[in-house]
Amino acid sequence: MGSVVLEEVTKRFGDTVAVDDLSLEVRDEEFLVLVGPSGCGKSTALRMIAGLDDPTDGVVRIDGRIVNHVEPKDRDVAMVFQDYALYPHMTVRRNVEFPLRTRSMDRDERQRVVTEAAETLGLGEFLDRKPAQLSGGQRQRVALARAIVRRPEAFLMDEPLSNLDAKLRVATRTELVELQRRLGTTVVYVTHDQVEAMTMGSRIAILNEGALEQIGPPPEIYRRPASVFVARFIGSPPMNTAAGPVRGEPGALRVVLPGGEIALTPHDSRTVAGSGCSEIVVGIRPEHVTVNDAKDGATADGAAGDASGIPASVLSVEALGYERHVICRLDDGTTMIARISTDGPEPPAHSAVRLGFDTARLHFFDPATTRRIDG
Amino acid sequence: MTALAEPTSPSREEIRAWMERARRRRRMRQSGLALLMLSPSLVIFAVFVFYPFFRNFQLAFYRTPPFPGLPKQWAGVDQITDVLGSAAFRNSVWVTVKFAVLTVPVGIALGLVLAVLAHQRLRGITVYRTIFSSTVATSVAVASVVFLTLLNPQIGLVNYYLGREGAQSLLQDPTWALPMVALVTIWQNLGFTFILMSAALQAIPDEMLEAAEVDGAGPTRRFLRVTIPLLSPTIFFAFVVGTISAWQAFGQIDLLTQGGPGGSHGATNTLTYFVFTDFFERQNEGTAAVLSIALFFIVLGLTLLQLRYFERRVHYER
Repeated sequence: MGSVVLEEVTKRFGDTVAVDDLSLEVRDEEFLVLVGPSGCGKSTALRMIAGLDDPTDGVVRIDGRIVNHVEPKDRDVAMVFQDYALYPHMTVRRNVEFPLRTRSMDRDERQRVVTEAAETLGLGEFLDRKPAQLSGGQRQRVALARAIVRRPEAFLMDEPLSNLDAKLRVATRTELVELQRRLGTTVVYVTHDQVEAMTMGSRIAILNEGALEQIGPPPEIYRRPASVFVARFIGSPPMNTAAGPVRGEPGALRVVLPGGEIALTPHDSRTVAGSGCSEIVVGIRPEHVTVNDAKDGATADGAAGDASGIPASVLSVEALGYERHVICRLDDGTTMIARISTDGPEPPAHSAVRLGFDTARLHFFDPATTRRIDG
Repeated sequence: MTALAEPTSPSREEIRAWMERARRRRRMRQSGLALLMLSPSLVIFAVFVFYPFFRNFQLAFYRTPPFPGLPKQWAGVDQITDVLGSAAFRNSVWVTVKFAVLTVPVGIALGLVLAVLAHQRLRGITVYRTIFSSTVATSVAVASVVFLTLLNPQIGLVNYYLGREGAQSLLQDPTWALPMVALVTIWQNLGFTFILMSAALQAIPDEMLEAAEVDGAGPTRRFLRVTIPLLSPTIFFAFVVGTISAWQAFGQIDLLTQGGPGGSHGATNTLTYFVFTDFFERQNEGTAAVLSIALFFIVLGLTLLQLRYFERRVHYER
């Protein structure tokens, strides 16, 4: 088992930069998720680890060894592809033992390893079928089986769940993590789905336009997003952000937003003052926004609120059964989403409301660099 | 005011019978329409395929008189056994078998090799793709004339390079005539085979070969274990179609050798060419009919054999 390290890796295709100066360490036995919007370079990064693409610049190490010029077959990694890439002309057994045959393992040993892998993944009864006779979920298992028989240094997975239906995807998510724990292997997992990233990764690396935005354990990424991009990419609905000038004394700053002001806590005031920014991007998660009556300030679910919030008008309300997303618009057109409970009456569409912010839960970003401002 | 008669509701059986009638009417109307739409092609097939096909069987039973105008004589199966037992017939079948063996596998192998070479993602590869497929745009006549010039005993480059200027053309050499005709045929068909193989190669997902690469398979193993099986339906198709067209080869033989050297026992006198000369030169429509029927059954038999024995090794799964 091994670690995978990318050191200042860049990949260009002609004039487009797919991966831009990416440094990344995947620790031994870690489940690292590479996540980002499509075209962010995550698949290219994975393909460079596999050896299917050569980096234009930088170094790729697997288990300490520089593998830039090592053929994919000699890198000792196994890959699971999005479309599984099963060999349609071979039976499941043949597919699973393909990597073993290329290693010329003897027949009995091969038989034993294949049977074991088939048992692990519940494929025993399908060994003599062809991939075309299997369902999507079964094919996905065959692809996994083909990867695990190798006992590789690392598993590389490129959106392996995206072709499954929603229910199966959720179930397989758990199974994959469980499988990784049991085998104790390093996994590099590429996805565009932030839910997969949050639920599966022991750490998440968020890529944007080929560059690393942030890497860390899921709770940390959610609590302390390092940039506006991460703040808005992770979390559903995404974090609300609005820019405004900073006013007031260093110990008691206020941020001026369209239609009102937010008074910062003393701690936040010091942080923001320390950054020296005269204008700032404020971020707040939808669950830390309350929707209050425009006149008396009562919250939508009936509790007494404050009348000092920012005025907004309700665009629409998405009722999900267990919670509601209230989509509002500020005076200048900025959209803000509040996540509220389903108790109490629903704020009618187009009604005027005041949005209250939990000022202890604000995030601040430098508008010039879009990076997080920390105390 | 007279009371309206109480409308009796139809029984279940009546409804069923009525629906059955309606269904039959609809089916009649539909098959009538189908026939109407098929009729133009049916007429063309009838005139140019079905009638000549059956007429051929009739011709085979009559001996063609030595001079036109004399009545035809019923010969029964005698003419058929005469022709099929003749040395000229055996020669032409043997020549055609050799011709097919020379052209089909080599042509497919070459087409596949070129397709694999042109499948690389390299700068300027489209130029090669165009060159490789260009023979599709040439006719058999053009190909034949090009090679006729190359093989010309006086001015041809082939004799020049072989150091045998002025000696007879390879096309007149009993040993080399058939291989030369086969060469022209392979060259002429190469563009088509190349396009066929290229299209099939492009249909193989890159992921499949990349998976094999990560799984530890080198280029040879990837080609033999993944590419070739996935191409097998196309290779099989090219094999069957190529064999049929080898048995029907005519243009290049007519232009290059006229079946010779060696007259009706000529080294390049393939069965199709034999039929042609029998009819148009010797004007013996009876024996030509027997030969063409033999050709039909040979091609039919070969195709059935290929479907029976080779298709089992073809992977159609996707």
